[in-house]
Formats: sequence, C-alpha cells, structure tokens
Amino acid sequence: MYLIIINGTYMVVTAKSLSVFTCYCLRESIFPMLAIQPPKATITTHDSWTSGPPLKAISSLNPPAVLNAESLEVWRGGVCLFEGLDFTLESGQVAIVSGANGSGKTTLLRVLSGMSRAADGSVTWRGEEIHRLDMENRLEITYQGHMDGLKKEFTVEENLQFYQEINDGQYPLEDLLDELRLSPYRNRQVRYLSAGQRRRVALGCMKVKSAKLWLLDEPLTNLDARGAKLVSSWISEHANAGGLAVVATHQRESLIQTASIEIEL
Amino acid sequence: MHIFLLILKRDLRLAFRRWNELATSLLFFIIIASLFPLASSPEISQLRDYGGAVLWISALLSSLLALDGLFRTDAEDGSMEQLVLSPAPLGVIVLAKITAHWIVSGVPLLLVAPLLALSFYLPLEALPVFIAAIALATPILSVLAAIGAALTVTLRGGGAIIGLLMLPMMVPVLVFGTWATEAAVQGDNPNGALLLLASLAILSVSLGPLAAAGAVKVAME
Repeated sequence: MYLIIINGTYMVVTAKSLSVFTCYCLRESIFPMLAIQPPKATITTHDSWTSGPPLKAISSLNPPAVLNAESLEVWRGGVCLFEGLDFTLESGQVAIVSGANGSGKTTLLRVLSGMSRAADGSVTWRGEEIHRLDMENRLEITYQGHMDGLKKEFTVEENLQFYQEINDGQYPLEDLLDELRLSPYRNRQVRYLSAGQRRRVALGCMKVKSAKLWLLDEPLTNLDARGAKLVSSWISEHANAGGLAVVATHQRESLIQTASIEIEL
Repeated sequence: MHIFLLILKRDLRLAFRRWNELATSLLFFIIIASLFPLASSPEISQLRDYGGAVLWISALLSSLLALDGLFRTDAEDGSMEQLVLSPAPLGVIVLAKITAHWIVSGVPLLLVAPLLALSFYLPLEALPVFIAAIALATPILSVLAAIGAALTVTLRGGGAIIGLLMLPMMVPVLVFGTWATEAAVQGDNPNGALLLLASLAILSVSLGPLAAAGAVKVAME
C-alpha cells in the first residue's frame, strides 16, 4: 500500500525532473541550431530615484539584508520566459517588474519567494538559498500573489489576526484597519466584501507580518485611486525604513517614483 | 506547538462555520449503513452477521466525502501559498490540519458508530472492541485522506479521482477493522487485529503528514 504512495510521489518527482531535463536538452540542442535567442530581460537602475536611507548598523552575526538573483533562467509550459537575469536588491531599494501578460512576472516572484524553482541560477536572501531559509529569515519575507489568501468565512479582523499571529507580526491592528478604511467592516465576513475591499484586507494581511522583503504581485488590482495611493505610500515608507520590495505591476506609472531598479521582462 | 494550535484553532473554526459540510458526511454514514437492512433481510441473525462489515464500509465511504475540502479550499483562495511560505514547518501545519479533520469527521463517526452497531444487534460485549477499532481507524483514514487530498489538490474534479486513489489504500483498515469486530462478535480474541490497526495508526500518523506535506509542496510549485 505504502509502495503506491511512495511510487506516486516518486513518479511526480521524476516527471518534474524529466521536464526540467527536457527543457535543458531543448535549450542546449535546438536553440543554438535555430539560432533562436530566448528573451532577455532588461534592467534599468535609477540611482536618482533612490531615497538612500541611512544604513543601519548590522550585527556581525547577521549578513546584510540583500536579495540576490544570479543568472536566473525560468521555464514555464515548455517555453523559456527569460534567462540570464541578474539583479541585487539592497536594503531600502524597490524593484518594479514590468512586462506584457505572460512575460513571467508572476513566475519570477514565485521563484523569488522560494515557492517555485528556477531551471537555472540561484536566488539568495542574506546569502542563503531562498528555499533553504531557516525560520528567522523566512519570517522576513512576505509574498502577496494574485489570490488573496483570505478565508471568506472569517471576518476581516480574524483574517488579519491569523496572519499576524502565525508570522509573529507586531503591527497594531487598529491603525491598520483605519489606514485601510476597513474599521466599519472589521466584524464582517470577507465573503460579503467587494473585490477592492478584499484586496485591501489582503494587503493588510501582508503588512501585519512586519516582513523586511515584500514580494507583491499586482498589488493595485481592483483598488480605487485612494487605495493605490496608500499602497504606493506604503512601499516608499517601507523602503525608507530600510525594507526591500519587488513589485510586479502593469500600473508602472503609479509606482515608478518609488523604484530604484526596473526589471522589464 | 504554537503554530500547531494556531492552525488547529483556525481549521476548527472554519469547519464549524461550514457546519453543513460536517453534517453531510455523518448523515451519509448513517444513511449508507441503514440502506443495507432495507436491501437485504432485517433478521437479527443476519444483521449481526453482516453488521460489522456494513459499518466499516460505510465509515470508509463517508470519510471520502469530507476529504476533498482538506486542502482544496486553501489552495483555491491562496491561503495554501501563505501557509507554505510561512516560517512554520509544513509538516506541522499539515499535521494540525489532519488533526482538525479528524476532530470534525472522525470523532462524530466515533460517537455515532456504537449506536448504529447496537441497531445492527452487535452484542454489547463486542462494543468496546468495535469502538476501539473505530478509534484507531479514524486517524488512519484522516491521514490517508490528507495524502490523497494533497496529491489531487491541483487537479480539477479531484473528488472522483480521490475515491479511486484512496479506497485501495484504505483496504488494510477495512480488513483489520472487520477482523477485530468479527472476532469480538464471535467471542474470539480480537487483540491481533487491534494491534495491527494500532501499528498502522502509528505508522500513518508519524509518516503520513510528511508525505502529505511533500505532495502539497510539489503541488504549490
């Protein structure tokens, strides 16, 4: 009986590694033959935009908060989305990821969060491989994807509380609810909220974790003008406080003033 | 431990807010079990003969019902992503979810099964053994449910596939469960079957959450 289970997982693993292997073979054999170059990401650095927060004293035990991506190569569905992507994000810097639909913004963020693996290259946080982080370093990273991650049977407050407790967050809930204009809805179940309100709750859940590195995938979706302004001010405040953020967005103009690096896929 | 309790509390609260799903699998259990006397003869001697088997098959089938929601709702609303990325070890999170699943699906079954056993005229002396066997079997079923749910979490219409995948894995539980019950009804010594069930329970509770956590991780990639 247990053989089947082991066999089952084993087969999943082999299928996965097989596909990676096939992708690798395809890249090595067919691309040079056809002289097709996989898309190359462009990276622009905007030094003038960096507000340049004062560097905090870093204890010798803890390596500096740096997110480093080295020659990342990402495949999805048999297509190479990008290859050779290098960038380094330091304390106080924000990277904006832009690109057309399907260019790999979400996949890049998932790779940066450690949830998905890149076909090649590495992502490190404080010098450690992202998918091998210990508990303390893992606490410093938050990822907010397309899906809200909210339980619709729970009230706004219960959702926020859960994420705060599980991540040891310290952010005061009252202030957060006020900022998000959600105080009147705090005891309402999420299922009765509008899409924009849900997104605000989700962003609140992201904020209560008090993480150092924010990975945000389209944070402005469904938000009204005030909500978008709030997010952009959050990102600048976060950067000014020495935080890091990678934000994938189609509304480049709303967030570009906060950015110090721009990655175009 | 803190994380375990946190997830357990969350899942229990969620389950009670969706109480209709809870009731469904329990009512399903009662209904399947009561169909058998209708389809065959309701004579006491016959009821006693097949009662044990009927109860065990009903328990297995009804446990399949509650199984699909174990990870699917979390995967669909994005909570699973957040849990996978949370600092807690995934095995602990999965174990907490399994425990919650057992409390809301296994324990009610454990409470109702003795009543049904009595209605099948199982002798009173056999009841403690039957209850012990069900108590050992329900955690195994919950763990197997978790593995099945984790393997099929990204499949559309996973519900039907889970049945095909899990029922063969549940066969040992059925075999040892009915063996223990029959032995007790016949007045034989049921210890062998109970010990085998206990060892299966230990094996599944200790290793199952890790297997399910691995499957969830692969599914989330």
